[in-house]
Amino acid sequence: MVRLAAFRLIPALDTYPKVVDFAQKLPGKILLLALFSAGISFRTDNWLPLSAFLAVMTFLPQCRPVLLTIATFGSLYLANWPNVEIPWSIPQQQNSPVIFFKPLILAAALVFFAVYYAVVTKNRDGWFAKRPIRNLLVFYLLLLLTATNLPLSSPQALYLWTFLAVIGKYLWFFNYTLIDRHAKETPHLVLQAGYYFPFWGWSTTPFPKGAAYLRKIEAKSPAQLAVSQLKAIKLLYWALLLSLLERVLRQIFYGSADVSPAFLGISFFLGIPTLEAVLHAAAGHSYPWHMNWLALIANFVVRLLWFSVWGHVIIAGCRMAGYNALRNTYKPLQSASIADFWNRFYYYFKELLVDNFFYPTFLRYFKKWPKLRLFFATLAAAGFGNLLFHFLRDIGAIAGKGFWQTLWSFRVYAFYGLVLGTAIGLSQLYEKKRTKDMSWFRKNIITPVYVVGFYCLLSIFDSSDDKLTLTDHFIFLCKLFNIHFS
Amino acid sequence: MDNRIKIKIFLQELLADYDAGPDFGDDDSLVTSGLLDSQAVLRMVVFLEEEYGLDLAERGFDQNDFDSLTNIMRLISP
Repeated sequence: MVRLAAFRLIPALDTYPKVVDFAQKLPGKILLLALFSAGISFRTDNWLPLSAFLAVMTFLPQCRPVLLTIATFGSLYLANWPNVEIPWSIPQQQNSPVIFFKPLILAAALVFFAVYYAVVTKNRDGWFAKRPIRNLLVFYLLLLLTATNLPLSSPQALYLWTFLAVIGKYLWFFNYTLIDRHAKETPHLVLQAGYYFPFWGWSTTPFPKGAAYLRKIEAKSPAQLAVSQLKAIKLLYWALLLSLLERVLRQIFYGSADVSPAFLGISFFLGIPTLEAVLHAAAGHSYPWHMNWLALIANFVVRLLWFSVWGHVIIAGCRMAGYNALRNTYKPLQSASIADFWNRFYYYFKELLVDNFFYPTFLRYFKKWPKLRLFFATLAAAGFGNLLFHFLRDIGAIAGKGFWQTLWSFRVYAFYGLVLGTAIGLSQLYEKKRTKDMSWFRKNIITPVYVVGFYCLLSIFDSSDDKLTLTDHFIFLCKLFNIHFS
Repeated sequence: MDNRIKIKIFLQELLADYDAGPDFGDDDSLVTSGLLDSQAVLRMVVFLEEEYGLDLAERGFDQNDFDSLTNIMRLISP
């Protein structure tokens, strides 16, 4: 039993001294780079430039920050710069010059932030320097409100919206730079541009956090680089296995007739409807109750797998570049509580909310009421911060539908954030934090079922689909328990 | 009791709650390494507020300040 529990599908290569020694030598480095290139080629078409950037960084570790900046801008250029989701409602003929001015808008956004950063750091006693993140967010929201009142057909609107879209993409990276402004590990602002949308993977959520954190986790010796790269290989190949499992499950749950009749020779499928389909079908009315449950659970499982793979691949690239970051998703099914699952499921998004919303709230409000202090700060992060992040990310909708209309379309997601924040807050206050204090039955049966069950049910409301009301979602929730209205 | 010893004892108690051993060096990473999480950092904040009157609301918060015993010592006696 002990031997079975210690079994690893992918061995812990980074803990074997001989392997670590080999990984520091030229043949070892070449082998690791080749293994990574082979693995990453299954995940991205840009595997060749990515591998080239990694090779240069592997052999010139002393130039890593500069190389990272070059690699990041190189990968942005190769990908035609970030997708800024130009609003569809702007006439198409206006979109043609976008390709040419996108780098200029990007440069303008970076200069805008550099000026803001200089003002904040050089006038530390100024009112705007006291709360620079809040002020930047408020300023951005005001710009969005102003832009929604401009006629969309004008060329100026196109430039303004592109500028706002670029700022929106970089907003949380900028915030990390502001958070890091006091940290002694923070590199020069010019080099920090290489940490915004780093070449190992793109997300509006900074992976992994800001420049100070990256400097902290950077490999500082050949041995540390070897360990980081071995962990990268392990994580990448683990992600590929999970990806395979996800595709097999997709085939079994949904079939993949639109792509090919079978996957890996599996032509059998259960024909489970998607969660979107059951929610839209009169809030699940036209499907039997067990099919509603299957749709919900299948969606949760596939999403969990997809999400794990996505984060693992980005972190694997980061580790390969010499930054030994923690995993984004770490054994969520072993969570000891609702708060623990939130920490394990999407670590870097949770960190973003903690750094930008939780700490500022925690350090200011309800200091004399410890429980209320913790609860309120958690609600500010998982509820308000979560909603604000997703609202600002949906800039295409804001441009197309307007500021207030888009905000209204987030009412179901606002409810989701409220429940999530409340549940995590209560979990932090009252749930056991470690599984070692639990009985076997509670640890292995009750806790996973209730924690995963909670998030599975809550995923019903994880939606910004404005075609469905909050009532529709509640009707679907009730139908799961065979409660019918009308 | 010496401040360094007092904080070290507090950190050892914190590590015990996270199933980690009590031995660590003054410069060892406790948070970035994954030994402690953000909830543990909060307990450190509250401890330092109560024991040393630390107020981070104006100063700004940096999790790295809590990453090692040396960093924490720098925080309470800048």
